[in-house]
Amino acid sequence: MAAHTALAGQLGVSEELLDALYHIDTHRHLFTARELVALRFAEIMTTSARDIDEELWDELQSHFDDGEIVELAMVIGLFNCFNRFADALHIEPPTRSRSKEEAQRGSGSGERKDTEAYGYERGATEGPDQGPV
Amino acid sequence: MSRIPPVEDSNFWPAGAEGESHQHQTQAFATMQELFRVMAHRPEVARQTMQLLQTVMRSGSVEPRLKELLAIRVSQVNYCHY
Repeated sequence: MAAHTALAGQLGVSEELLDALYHIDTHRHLFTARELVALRFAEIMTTSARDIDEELWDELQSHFDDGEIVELAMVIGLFNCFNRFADALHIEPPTRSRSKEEAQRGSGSGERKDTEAYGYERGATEGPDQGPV
Repeated sequence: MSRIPPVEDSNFWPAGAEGESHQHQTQAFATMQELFRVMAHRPEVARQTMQLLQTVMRSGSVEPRLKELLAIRVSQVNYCHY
């Protein structure tokens, strides 16, 4: 668990749902048919993308149009990219004290809205150094 | 520690956007933050990657909840081989 659940809190995906994702087969009732197909697509695209067979493809197409499948594939691809990047470069969460400092710093920017969740950026050169890591 | 030191005076990830602070989610946020700090050695790459992330997650007609589920599931599959 690390960079992967990073986005979960932003839209209010509950902890129950996070756990259910680990055991989808026994928690199918928590997901719609549409979600279940997309999740299977995500699993296979992540582990062996060439093995997405016609059966799964047909199922996918019965729930999503072409543009939506592009959306799904981009989410899946992008997070695979983040996972690889983090693994190869040994990216780990910073020390607790620094995280806290940043949480405080961030809280000065006003109320959080979900619409801001991915659009927030302070630029690469703003602000003073935050001291030793 | 990351193999490449994070750029300390950068912040492309929303530091104040942690929401409910379930322990693992908080840590996950910190990791994503760190990832973008490392990427910030090339600020334009980091900026445009964040922009892409935003576009991918927020635009289109697939419901955001499903996209969140997919993002989480991909990472689960990558880190827990089962």
